[in-house]
Amino acid sequence: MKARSVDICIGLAAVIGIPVLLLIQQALMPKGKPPVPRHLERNLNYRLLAATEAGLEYGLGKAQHTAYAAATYFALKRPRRAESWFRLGAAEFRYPSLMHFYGDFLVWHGRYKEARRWYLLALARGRSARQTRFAAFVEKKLRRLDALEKKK
Amino acid sequence: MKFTFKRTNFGAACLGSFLCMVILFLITLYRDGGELHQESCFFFMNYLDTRPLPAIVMDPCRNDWGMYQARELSYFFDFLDTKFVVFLLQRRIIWFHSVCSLILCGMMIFCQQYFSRRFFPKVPGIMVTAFSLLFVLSPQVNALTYFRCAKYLTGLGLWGALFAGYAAFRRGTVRSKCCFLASLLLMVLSDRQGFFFAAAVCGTAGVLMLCFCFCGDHAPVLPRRLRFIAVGSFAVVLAGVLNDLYLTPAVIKALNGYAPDFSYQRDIVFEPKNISDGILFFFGNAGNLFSADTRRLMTTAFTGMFLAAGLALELFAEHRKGKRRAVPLALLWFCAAGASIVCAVGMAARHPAVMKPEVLYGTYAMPMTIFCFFLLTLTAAGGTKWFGRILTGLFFVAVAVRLDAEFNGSPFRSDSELFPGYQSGQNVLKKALRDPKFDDEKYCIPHRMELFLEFYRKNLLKNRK
Repeated sequence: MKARSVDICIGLAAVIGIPVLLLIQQALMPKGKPPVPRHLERNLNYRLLAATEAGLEYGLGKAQHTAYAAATYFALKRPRRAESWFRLGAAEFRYPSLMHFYGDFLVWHGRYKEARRWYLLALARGRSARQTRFAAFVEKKLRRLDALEKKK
Repeated sequence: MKFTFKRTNFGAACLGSFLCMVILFLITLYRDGGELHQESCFFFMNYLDTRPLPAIVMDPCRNDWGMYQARELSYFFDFLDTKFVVFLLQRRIIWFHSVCSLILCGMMIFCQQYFSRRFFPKVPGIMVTAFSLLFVLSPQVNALTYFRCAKYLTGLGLWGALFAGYAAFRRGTVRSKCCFLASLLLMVLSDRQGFFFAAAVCGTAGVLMLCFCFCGDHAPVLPRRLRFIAVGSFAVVLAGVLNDLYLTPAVIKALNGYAPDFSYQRDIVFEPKNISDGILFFFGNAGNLFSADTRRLMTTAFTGMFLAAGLALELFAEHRKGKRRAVPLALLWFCAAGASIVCAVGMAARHPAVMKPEVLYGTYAMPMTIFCFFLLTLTAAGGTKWFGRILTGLFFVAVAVRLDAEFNGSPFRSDSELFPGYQSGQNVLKKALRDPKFDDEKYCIPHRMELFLEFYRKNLLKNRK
């Protein structure tokens, strides 16, 4: 009889004790968020991290992420990497805005022939989508490119 | 029951384990070096830091994104993995798989092979091997990505705890009791899931004790045989709580100078949807072992439920035949399934991404699968003849389905599929690692991968052999 009572007590303690122990653990946990130490990724650029991760989400990635990644690399004076992002947005994702941005980038680097190609592609895309304001804007860029070429 | 060391058991277990390890190794070869997980890019640099080893390991802020979970033991194995990856990279071999996980898998398979043959001699050897093959071919086990070893350590601890617990229950030798406690401690120190399942073992022992106490003279076994399991597991869980609250934070503070953040453990918001998610997670993973369909969760969940119904039928048939083990076995199944579902509900609430197919069929479900495999072996050990035959046949069909899916289809969905940028950057990364002159600037890769390459070129390339 005594052994049976001991067994019942142990059984009850195990069944009830575990949830109680977990509740006590939750209650004893320190509240609030302690200050986080500096990460070891000292060169990590959070803007770039967000832009590159979002820019590569095929189907989910929007033009602005790709453009943002390219612009950030450009600002960091890494034009080759910036170009790869412009190309991704313009050639692979076929975003008209990226085609136009890529054209601007090429103009900046004096590659007028290639720039004209991308402007014309952006213009065609803009017209086919009936984005008249965008098309007019790209036409303006093309006229400026003509002037630059004449100057050269 | 008297357990004796049989050479045939050992030889057969070695042979079975060797076969499974060869399959596992072939799978890793087939995956062409694996993939670098996006989180691994982050902790890779930390593990190669020049600080002393204890400071590197006891650093959840850098090893686990600041989410303290008292699983620092697993970080030590991640550290070893990193060293091995670097060792191979310096020899121009790209192998983003976890060598510790591979070794732990081998140990798990051997444990399952040897102890199943030794403790359950009535289970045919072919069934034990079919279990091992299915275990190895399940995506929960063969992912082996260079990422984290926590679930593999928990898996090994759980196999050990279940077999040692069974031996302690049947014979109560000091060695089996010590093995049981050591296995539980390994689980508790390895992962939060390990901690949860150690608590589940304690609760299950308590439920069985109460059940046997109230059965009176009809109880199949004496409840006092379960005393050690209930008290021992409770003590280990208590030690885990103390370690989580006081010991590890004190060591982290002393070595790294900061107090860990408990918010990951504390701030869990439950929603009603989590319950259905938890049930789907459990049955989906059980069904996926047999259907290998990672696209339709409902199909796999219904397969799992169908199997559960078959099992219930078997236990009912045993009960009708007057077998005394039917009720405690049904209780064991009920407790194991209940604990697994509660665990899945908690995971769905804490980390909703577990319901995405890329993660759902991953290592998160490994401990649950181990519970199922152990209980299936236990059920088959004294079950009806047709049950054993059907189970063996079903397992071999499942092995064939899995093999076909592994090598003909593309069933393997790694965690990194969640991050398409990292998925698309893998080829560029591998080319850049193989060829030091490769111009990765021409390609778009995530910024963290770029930093990884930069770190590799600055610190590791010069030591390349």
